[in-house]
Amino acid sequence: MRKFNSFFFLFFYSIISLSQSISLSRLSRSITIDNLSDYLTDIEILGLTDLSVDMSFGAGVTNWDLAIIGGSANSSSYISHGNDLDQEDILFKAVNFCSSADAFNAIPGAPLNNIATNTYQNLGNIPWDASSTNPPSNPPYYIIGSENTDGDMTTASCGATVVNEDGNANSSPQTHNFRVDLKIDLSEFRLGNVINPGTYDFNIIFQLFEDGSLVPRATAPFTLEIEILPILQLKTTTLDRIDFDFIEITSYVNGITQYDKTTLEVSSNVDWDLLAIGTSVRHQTLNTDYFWDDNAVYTSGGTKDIPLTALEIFQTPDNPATSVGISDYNTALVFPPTQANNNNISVLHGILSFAADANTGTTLSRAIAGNLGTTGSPGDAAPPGSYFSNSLATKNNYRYSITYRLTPGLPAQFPNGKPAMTQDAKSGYYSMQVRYIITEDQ
Amino acid sequence: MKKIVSLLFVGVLIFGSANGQILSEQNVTINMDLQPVLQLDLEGPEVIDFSFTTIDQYRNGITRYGANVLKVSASVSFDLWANGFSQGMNTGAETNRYFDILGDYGAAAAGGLNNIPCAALELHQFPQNPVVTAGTGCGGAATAADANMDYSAAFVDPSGAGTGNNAIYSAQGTNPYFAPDDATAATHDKYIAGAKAVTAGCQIVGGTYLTQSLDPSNATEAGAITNDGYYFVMDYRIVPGLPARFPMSDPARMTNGAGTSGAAYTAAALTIHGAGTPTAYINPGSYQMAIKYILVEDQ
Repeated sequence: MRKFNSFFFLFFYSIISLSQSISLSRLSRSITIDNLSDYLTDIEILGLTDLSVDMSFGAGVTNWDLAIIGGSANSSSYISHGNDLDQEDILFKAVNFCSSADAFNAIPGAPLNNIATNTYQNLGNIPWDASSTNPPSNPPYYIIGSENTDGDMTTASCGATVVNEDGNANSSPQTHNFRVDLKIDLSEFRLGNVINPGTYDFNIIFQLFEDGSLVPRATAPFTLEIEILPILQLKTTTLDRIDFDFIEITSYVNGITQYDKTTLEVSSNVDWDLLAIGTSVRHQTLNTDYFWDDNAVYTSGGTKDIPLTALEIFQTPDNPATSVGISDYNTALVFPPTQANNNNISVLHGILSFAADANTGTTLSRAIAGNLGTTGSPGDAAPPGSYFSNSLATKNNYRYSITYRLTPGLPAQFPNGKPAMTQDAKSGYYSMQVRYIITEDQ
Repeated sequence: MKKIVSLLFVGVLIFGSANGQILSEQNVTINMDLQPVLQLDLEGPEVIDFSFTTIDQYRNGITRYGANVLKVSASVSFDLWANGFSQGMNTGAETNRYFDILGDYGAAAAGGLNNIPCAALELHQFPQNPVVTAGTGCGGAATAADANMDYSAAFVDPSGAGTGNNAIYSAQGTNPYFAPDDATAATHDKYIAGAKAVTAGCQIVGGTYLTQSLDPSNATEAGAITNDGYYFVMDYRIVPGLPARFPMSDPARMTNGAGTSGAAYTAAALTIHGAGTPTAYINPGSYQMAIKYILVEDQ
């Protein structure tokens, strides 16, 4: 029985002594970027996964190397007028109690791709095709050790403790356990460039080597899925209802101007256009019925067909798009209002399948920001950014104040309205809708 | 089968995401309350006295030039007229528009009456009713003379045989807001601005005297002031006559005398112009009437 026990002990010991493995607490992680505040700083996730090294080579060999390699495996962008998120934007670092990755000073020779400090390193310097079935030929980033034979390594944190010695997480938790952190570099957005919304997959492999060997003894894969959602946020900070009450002759003659009644604040991670569209229930029902809704009429004479274009708006600041021929609503209101030099609101039917309409004088080139129908910033679109994150110099591009004016005139035929009225407007209660639409640059 | 359906669903999602147009929008509702504004400003005294103390005044009458100025602002098309009105306190029926009697100085005099028709007041307006140029089409009486459509004709000599065109319109019936109408062919009850018909051109379009223009260069007399229908100077005249039968209110002397107002007088038994009272005259006294200037949307 004792003999049997000894045999069993030796057999079991030999198994333990030859174990070489990497364990990960999580094998994958999905991250969604769906809020513009995510872009204000780089996204950092501490403890993306926890890594444990179990390395027992047996007699003669006592040191090991730990490395990381990875790359973009798959990407599918929702739009394509910016740059994809690439592996240069994906950064990792691995830390443990002894700050093992700080052990660069103990490494003899000139190591390649060694993560010399506990700072993030991106995957961009490793042109590795993660979809390939062949082992990657490029050198990985070394978390511990290097491609050279390093021998025993120590750190200032743990003094004489060898950080790349045989052992496992249970016996040497301070040197064989690592917390792997992730950072996603979104600085490109903050420079005014578009990072294309879409899905991006990255395959990561942790590799465990015998000291100085280039052939891994053990590997552990990790999958990182990142989805960047398109963000187009339009916020109004003022009333959603504006009343114009014409109860005096002077207001008929001079019109009523309501200054800065609407403030529009934009946040977007894509190039965008911002439109103001005048419409009504009548107009949405019938494209050629480009008139206000008549809720009630008080008088019998005249007509209730008041053109939607009678509403003038004035925006400040002006359209940031720079291409020639783009128009906006930044022209000063003139009195009396005319059809020629006007700020008439665009009257468009539908959702986004808009078409110019000569009857109302509406063209697609008039926008608060950008230019519907032509793409590209800064010529025909506003760049990504936000009213709350951009610098003062560019903040104005994301915040607009809108002034409204209605001038019935006497007789009440709204001289700027198009098509022109041939009869007086019936006294009554009318309403229309102004739709502020922010859309991906198109 | 379940697997296939799931796969198809995923496929649709991906396809939709890749091709969907992204947008966001905010909506603002604009409400506009166009209230009808009819604003009539009256300049000048609100009480105008005619004191007949000399024979000349009885015979020739008293004229108050420019006693009132009417200034109109309206957001809708309108008509403007004057209605001679009293409280119907005298012996005639309420429908007979006579001056109200404040005091009768000669009640004992034989043959004296107190029924002064409101039409004894004559009006003269400047400028002309712009609608006059539209002619009879606005009046409803095909043979009516255009000049009878308003009070722009000159006051006529009260001692002559000519007919007057300036007696104030006085509505028949109990409703003082009854608009001037053509009761008989070849007559017009008068408007100061606008006309009976509602067809285009028979009303003053919305506007205001505030924007009425004068020609400071005085290039032409006609262009010195635009006659837009928003500004009128009103003259008043009352001629008692001798004897005091107020000849300008005689329906026989007025081209619109057969209209609503004249018909009321001739129907009254005690009218000073009645066939049965050829020698009747008005007692001395203190009498009073009102003018209602009525501005109304053309409808």
